[in-house]
Amino acid sequence: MTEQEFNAAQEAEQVNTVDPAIHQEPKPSVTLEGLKGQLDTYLNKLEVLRRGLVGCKMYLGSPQTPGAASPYPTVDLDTVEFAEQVIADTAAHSMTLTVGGFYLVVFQIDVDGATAGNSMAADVKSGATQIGYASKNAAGATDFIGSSFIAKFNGNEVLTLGAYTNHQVLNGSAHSFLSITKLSI
Amino acid sequence: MNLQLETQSGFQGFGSSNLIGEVYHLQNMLATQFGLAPYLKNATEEDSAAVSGMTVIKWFAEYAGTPYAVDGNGKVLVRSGGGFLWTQARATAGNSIGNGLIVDQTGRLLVARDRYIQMYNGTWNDTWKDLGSSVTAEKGMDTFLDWVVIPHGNAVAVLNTTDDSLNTAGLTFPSGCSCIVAKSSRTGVLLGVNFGSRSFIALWDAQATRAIAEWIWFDSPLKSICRAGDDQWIVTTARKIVLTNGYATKELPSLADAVLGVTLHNPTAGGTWVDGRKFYLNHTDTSANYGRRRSGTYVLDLDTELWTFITPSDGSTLNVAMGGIWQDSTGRLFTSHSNGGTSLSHVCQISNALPTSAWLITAPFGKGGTKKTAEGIKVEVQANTINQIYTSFGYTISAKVYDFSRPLWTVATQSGLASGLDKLNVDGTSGSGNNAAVGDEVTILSGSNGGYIRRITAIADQNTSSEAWTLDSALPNLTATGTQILVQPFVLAQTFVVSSAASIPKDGFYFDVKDRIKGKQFLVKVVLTDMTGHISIPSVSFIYNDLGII
Repeated sequence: MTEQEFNAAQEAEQVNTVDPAIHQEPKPSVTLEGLKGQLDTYLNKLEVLRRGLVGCKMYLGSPQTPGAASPYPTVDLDTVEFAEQVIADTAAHSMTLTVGGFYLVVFQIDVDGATAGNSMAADVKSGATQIGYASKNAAGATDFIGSSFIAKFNGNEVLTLGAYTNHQVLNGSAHSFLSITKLSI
Repeated sequence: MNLQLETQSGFQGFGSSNLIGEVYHLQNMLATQFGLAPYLKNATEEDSAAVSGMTVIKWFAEYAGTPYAVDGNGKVLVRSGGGFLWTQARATAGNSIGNGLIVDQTGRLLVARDRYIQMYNGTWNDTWKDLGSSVTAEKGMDTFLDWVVIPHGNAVAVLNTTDDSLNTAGLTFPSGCSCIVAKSSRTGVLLGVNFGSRSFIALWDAQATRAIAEWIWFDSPLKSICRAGDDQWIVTTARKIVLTNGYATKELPSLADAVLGVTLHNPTAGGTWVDGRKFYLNHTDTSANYGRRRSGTYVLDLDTELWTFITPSDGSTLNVAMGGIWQDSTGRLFTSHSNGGTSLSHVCQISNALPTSAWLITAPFGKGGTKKTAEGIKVEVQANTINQIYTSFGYTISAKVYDFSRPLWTVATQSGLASGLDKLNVDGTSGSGNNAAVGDEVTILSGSNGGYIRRITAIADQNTSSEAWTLDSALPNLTATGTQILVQPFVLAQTFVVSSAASIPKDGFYFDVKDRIKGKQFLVKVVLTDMTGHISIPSVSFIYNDLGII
């Protein structure tokens, strides 16, 4: 059909316009059911956290020198369940859990022997498995590094605190601590 | 007459999903706000005719504001004088496959070789650091904090850029593993590791003696990793492409026609890149594929999940090995390939410019299962709104129709040197070369005429060993023996040659399908060549007479 014939047919309203033959779909997106599932998951996690925070006795601060009493007060949020241990020992840096459950783990290391500008890291291991970790660039030869996290233990785990710099394992020094607080979850 | 008018518009790219905006295929076309524009061009900056011994470029890096590159033999090149010339900066210094290249945190250029790290800071040191053993494998390096992370076989070495100490085994995988690439991001370094027929990715912090997240496994070899934003990567394996944060993955579309038994994605370790919401994949075809998975640069729009294809600079898409892809500090996108047909390697730049040719093949036209006759094609043409330079609107535009009655993709092989510039010669007794018909479209897939499209106007001595095709116009070179030729039964409707017009026809172009091809569904191919003006195609309409019978 020539252009003139086509134009004439259009003017005579003899051309029917149809939708594209192909069945084109919008890009698959997140479904309502999927979103609801994700929301439920997050709500469950929030509920776990809420119960944990309400049901625990939070231990604030740690001894500044090994074996010394904490200069900070402890605060009772709840007394439903509570267990806490603190180690602050330059040699062993480990503790053995006796009771399983959810714990708030807080750790800090004063890394001796770091080089300013170099990376340094600290971790907490349960047995041989790394369960907590922090890293940053050292401000100087001694610098603090630490973090906190919530973990679930079965009981009888040995927790060890370690520090690294220049890919060598270092001993921490005084002012290092590993604190665990049992959460009533 | 029961005339029907069907319009496709909003083109975004090609794929296999019938998504909105999806066409069947396209080449060198950029999806813009107002249609598809022939606005993607891969152009050679230098080739191995000028830089003796240069092979395909594996990695690029920017040293002191100047792009550097390392080729597949470890030769280091520099883009000299701010122009398009690349020259040798350092000859191959020993065993190397162009394993890796990076500029470290102190501004030094580091070149990974099989055993040594070569360093340039104004002076070359070819054996600056010893990795302790020779490993002939890709070593895609990256920087993380004050470290340079260097894959080395089953180990990952870390170079401390503060004191230049090297730990050759910061992390060690089991002996059967081969780590080929490290890519850092906010949350750590993602390591890509091959292991037999499988592979995995492991997130690492360059500190611990183990990964910091569970490994994520793939059931095909890992090819490449590139960053995709602040805390995500795109991992390309032979059969799958995923977006990952190191902890979970989301699958992205594979290249089209994902048949069994082929390597679907085959970039080098440095052959992927993300710029904004576009994922670039340099695919090297190893299956003699002449369909929608040929060698070249594929670009996935991460929002529409549709692909675009950019041909290598010399137009060849078969017997081509693609290299690395990389963007410099000013946003220029560099790439490389090696053409087995011409035995030339190229270092190239992909830019928004007019390509030699560009085309699109629409999604199928023809509603319902009734018989129809193709009557006409209307192609709307507009000015390309991205372009900011005035040029007169010269171009050649053709429209062609395919009716699904013959195979869309067939290939023939040039037999002996072509008997003329407008001739192709094939062995008509061979299985693949004896199926062409007068009117078919041919595309040269390899060699010195790579990428050129012609139409068969006559066939002499058909089905004999000296079958000769006459083309509608001459090719630039005599086609060499062994050249692969794509043969497609697209029937030409019409061609318009627009010679430097001052403006664009507001009514578009109407193509009379004089052959009145009969079929139930049709593909329309729109081809643009000889372009001097910047145009775009917002829509293609198909006019058919619905015969109302099945």
